[in-house]
Amino acid sequence: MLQAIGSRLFSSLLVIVGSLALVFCIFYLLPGDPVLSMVDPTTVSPEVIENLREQLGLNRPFHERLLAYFGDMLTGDFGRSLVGSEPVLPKILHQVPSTLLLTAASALVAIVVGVTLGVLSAVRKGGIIDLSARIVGLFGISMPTFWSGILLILIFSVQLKWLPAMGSDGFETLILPALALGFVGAGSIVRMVRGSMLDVLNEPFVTTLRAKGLRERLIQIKHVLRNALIPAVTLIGMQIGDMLAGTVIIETVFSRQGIGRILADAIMAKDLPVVQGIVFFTAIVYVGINLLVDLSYAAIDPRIRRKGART
Amino acid sequence: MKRRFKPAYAFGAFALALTTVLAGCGSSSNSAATAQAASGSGTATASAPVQGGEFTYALATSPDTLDPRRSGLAVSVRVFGALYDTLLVRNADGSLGPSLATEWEQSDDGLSYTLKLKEGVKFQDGTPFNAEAVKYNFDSIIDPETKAANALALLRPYKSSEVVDEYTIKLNLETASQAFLGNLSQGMLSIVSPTAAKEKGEDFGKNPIGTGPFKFVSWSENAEIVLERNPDYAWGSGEAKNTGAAYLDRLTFKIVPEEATRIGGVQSGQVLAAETVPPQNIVALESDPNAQLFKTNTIGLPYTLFFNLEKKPWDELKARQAVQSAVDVDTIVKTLYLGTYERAWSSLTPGILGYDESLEGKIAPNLEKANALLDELGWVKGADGIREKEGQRLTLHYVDGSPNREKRNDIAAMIREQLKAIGVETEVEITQDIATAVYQNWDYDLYGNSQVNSDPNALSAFYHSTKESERRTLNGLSDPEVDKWLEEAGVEKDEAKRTELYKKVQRYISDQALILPIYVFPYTVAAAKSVQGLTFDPFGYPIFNDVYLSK
Amino acid sequence: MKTSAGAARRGAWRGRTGLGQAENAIRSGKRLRLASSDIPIGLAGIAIVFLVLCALFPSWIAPYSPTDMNTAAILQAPSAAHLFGTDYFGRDVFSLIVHGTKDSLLIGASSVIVGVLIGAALGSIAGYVGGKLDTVIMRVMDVLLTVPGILLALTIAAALGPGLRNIVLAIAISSVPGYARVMRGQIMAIRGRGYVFASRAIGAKPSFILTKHVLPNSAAPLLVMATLGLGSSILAGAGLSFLGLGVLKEIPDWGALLSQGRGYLTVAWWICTFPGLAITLFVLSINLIGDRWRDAVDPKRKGRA
Repeated sequence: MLQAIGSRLFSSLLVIVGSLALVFCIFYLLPGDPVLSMVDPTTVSPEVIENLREQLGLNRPFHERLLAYFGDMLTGDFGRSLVGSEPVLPKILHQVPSTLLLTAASALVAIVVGVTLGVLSAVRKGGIIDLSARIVGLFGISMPTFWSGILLILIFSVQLKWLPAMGSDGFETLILPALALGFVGAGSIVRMVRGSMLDVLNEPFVTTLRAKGLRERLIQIKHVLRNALIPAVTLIGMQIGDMLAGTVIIETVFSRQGIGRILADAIMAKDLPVVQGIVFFTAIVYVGINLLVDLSYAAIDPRIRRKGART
Repeated sequence: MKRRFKPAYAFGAFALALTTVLAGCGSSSNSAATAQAASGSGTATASAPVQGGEFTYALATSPDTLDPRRSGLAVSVRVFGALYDTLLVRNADGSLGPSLATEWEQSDDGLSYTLKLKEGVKFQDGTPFNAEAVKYNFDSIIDPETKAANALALLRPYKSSEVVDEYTIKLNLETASQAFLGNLSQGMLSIVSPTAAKEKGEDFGKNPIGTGPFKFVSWSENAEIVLERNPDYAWGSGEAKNTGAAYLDRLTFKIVPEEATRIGGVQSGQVLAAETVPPQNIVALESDPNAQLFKTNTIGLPYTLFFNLEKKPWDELKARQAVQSAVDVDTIVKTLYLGTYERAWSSLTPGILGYDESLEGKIAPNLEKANALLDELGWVKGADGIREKEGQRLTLHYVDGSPNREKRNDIAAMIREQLKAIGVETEVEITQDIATAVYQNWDYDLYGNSQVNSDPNALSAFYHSTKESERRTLNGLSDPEVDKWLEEAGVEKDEAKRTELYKKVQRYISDQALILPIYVFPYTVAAAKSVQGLTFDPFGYPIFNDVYLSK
Repeated sequence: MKTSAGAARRGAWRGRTGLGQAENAIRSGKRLRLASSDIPIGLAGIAIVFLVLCALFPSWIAPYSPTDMNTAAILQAPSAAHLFGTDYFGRDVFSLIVHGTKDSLLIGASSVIVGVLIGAALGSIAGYVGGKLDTVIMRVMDVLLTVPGILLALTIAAALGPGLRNIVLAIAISSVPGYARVMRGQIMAIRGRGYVFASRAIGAKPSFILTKHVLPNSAAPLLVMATLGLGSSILAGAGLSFLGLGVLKEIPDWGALLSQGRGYLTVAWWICTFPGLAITLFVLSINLIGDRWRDAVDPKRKGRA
């Protein structure tokens, strides 16, 4: 078991390194000169521009720059932002809490709504709950988050004036963004959980359990749910990753602080060090989540525990 | 002591007066409508200033740095007014007034200025303000190590300074420049603490120390900049009535790029003031009883579209005139800005020395004339309505930057529509990378720009011919006569003569149809009714010395 | 000449992908019993047909030219003259949406096609050949997956620059791992089936086996996934466009319309609302149909609504 975790960690590490190299390569091919975006060419002489280029190491060959980048990273130096020369790592770390808060809140909304509705709708098939579950499911995956966010602002902020439309401090500012972002995940999760529950409910062993005379509720919770949740857990992990990615749009729409917003700005400004830093951070978080998901399999599914984790 | 009085600044004073009246109008109609006048609720004609409180001011973009020497953005200057003082200030009537410098004298050859400095001024870290401090400031700007930005251009042609005594300094210039003294009133030449600057080096921009009424507390990236009252402030600045410490306890600049949320923040009470109100909200705010609207026109060069004379067929006068006659600037300005921006008519804005009023109304849309001009040049309308000549289609490559600042991208969209009527196909290129497309490759037929400036010498940067080694201008103009006028006006001491020269330049630009002037940018601020005492300098930058929050 | 063997194969393919049932019903002329669950599908079908028509013949459906700036009538609320109101240039919002359909559909469809082609190819190779190649390909897929969804598309789109081709490429690449994985799983499952083994035993060439047996059997889940993928591609395209990375053209696409309308939210809610509605309706309809298709194909779900 431990060995399996170890090998998973190792391959995760390789994958993170690969993704960083990927981002580096993508931006290496970038047309346009980052230096010219940094300084105003109207006031600065060509020598200063050349100096800056030298300083940033933009003249060195590709493999040198790649190796240098990885070397720096190991010592914790993620370079300086091309816009304002601020060191990248503190800049990202400062924004992380806000994004994590938003992601966690959205995940909460998605999981609670998704799982509850999914389970209930499978159990009470054909009723009003089933109908609302399917509506939530469909609309959740069909509505663009920037639209649902704007609609929420329009209704609850502009018209009703109940909730604030902007800001990152306090619980109130978290509600609308979390709803907008979580709704998508909820939709996906409802569909998966409902489907999974229905699959399990049709399995022979459930009929056996019923024949044995167990109470329906007991069957549902103890046996069906645990089995049904296994594939759902993978999906939840993926959805959290998507929500992390979705913060780019939501933080823009709601004017929230966070790495999503800095990422959008950095991409526009071709601020490579910042983009790389954020990708690194996202990759680590996402891989971490997937690792947790894999580990939780062992907790839920005794078969895996006994056999030892298979990749 | 020689003070300069510039009588031609009626417009500037009028604009400022109008603004104050507008702000007053809103509140007095409110107190008339609501019957509770007795409670003494805040009106524009308020009572004594109230001590204390936090003023939250929402900015549209984030300052790049709080080091005035290294900053390249106007938004940073809004904060500089609170943190720093300048040597001189520009008064509402256009004259120069004392701030950290009390007297000034120009040498006869124009190559040096002797300034007397205010005594008893201290930086927020205790360093005394004196001639040494000023010398350090200016020397550091021309020092390439500092990598100064706009400050370097403003300080030209500064060469060196001599400390005559503790409170007297002599500034030496390479060449004479009438713009020099005026530039000393601009925010990017604010005086920083030499001790702190030497100590912090590059990080000074995140830990600024000045002599202003507010001192720096913290800067949370992309979120807010917090300042607090400087209790030792006792020397006042320019025309601010309050010469002592500020009334406010705290001044917090919040950074809110999204227009809707920024302005909505004022209406919901999350912030007390928000800058750059979009036109559609200006109209709504002017009738909102709970808010007030400040609006000041900025001076300098208005937002203008420049033709690239090196690109055919726009090197021909008739082609440019055709475009001029086809573009309906009035409709553009009215549609996009809903009547809240003024249309520009010349290469300079109203209110600046040398502005030529006779150019107003000279250009009017005339499709027949436009079509006739293009016919004369031999461009024939093809089947799809676009003109052709010798197998070439008549295209206009219009380049603009993103994001859509001040709706400039929308101007391009409207011009594209309007030019269809005369058979011109407009290719609009919106790019993030203006530095490469425009300033490196010079690949455009039409590109727009503007500049806030106090002196008409700013025209030189745009219309004076350039040598091979220098960066060329947006038009690419090279006319020795224009060069002569600009050079003479740059050193001419007599104001009337200067004005004449600049008028000649403007008329030439207009006759040659080198540009399409579009709009004059007004700096707008939406604020809660409780905000009192907020004023603006002629550049449109806020002055916080007198601000207080009524209950 | 159609041989009976060929007909049998074709029939099997159609049966497996679920198209056969619909075909049979129509062919035999049986009156299709309409269940209540069919109403949404019917509506979805109508919506899709309408939107495709908008994409193909926008000038017939839109009452105004989308670039017409009626500057005397800016920011008008929805009315008889302007079904969805006008924007701040005086352009008719309904016409803008109709004309914007083409780009949205084009970006969505192209990304899916490219993504499926690349993903299926990689997945088949990995699944069929196995071994080291399989590991390498899957590791590359994992690397692509460490950057979730829209983030990867965003980065690639930003790096490549604006332009239709680049947007399509960006979204396609970010969807490749999903298709590759599914394809690989299917191939690996089928590879072990009896008839494949038998084919190999009688000496059939691998390419023959691949095209005649393996691919048709694995097509179904992939096609269903592609349909649902069309919906998310359209959403991704609109999202990129909203953030400013879209194709900058005279006629803004739906995402760009939303982004332009944001500043006018308090004075003109219709500029943001209707384009978003269009996106949602389009994707919703596609998803509904995709769901129904999947239910028809997936053996576990047969007979379940």
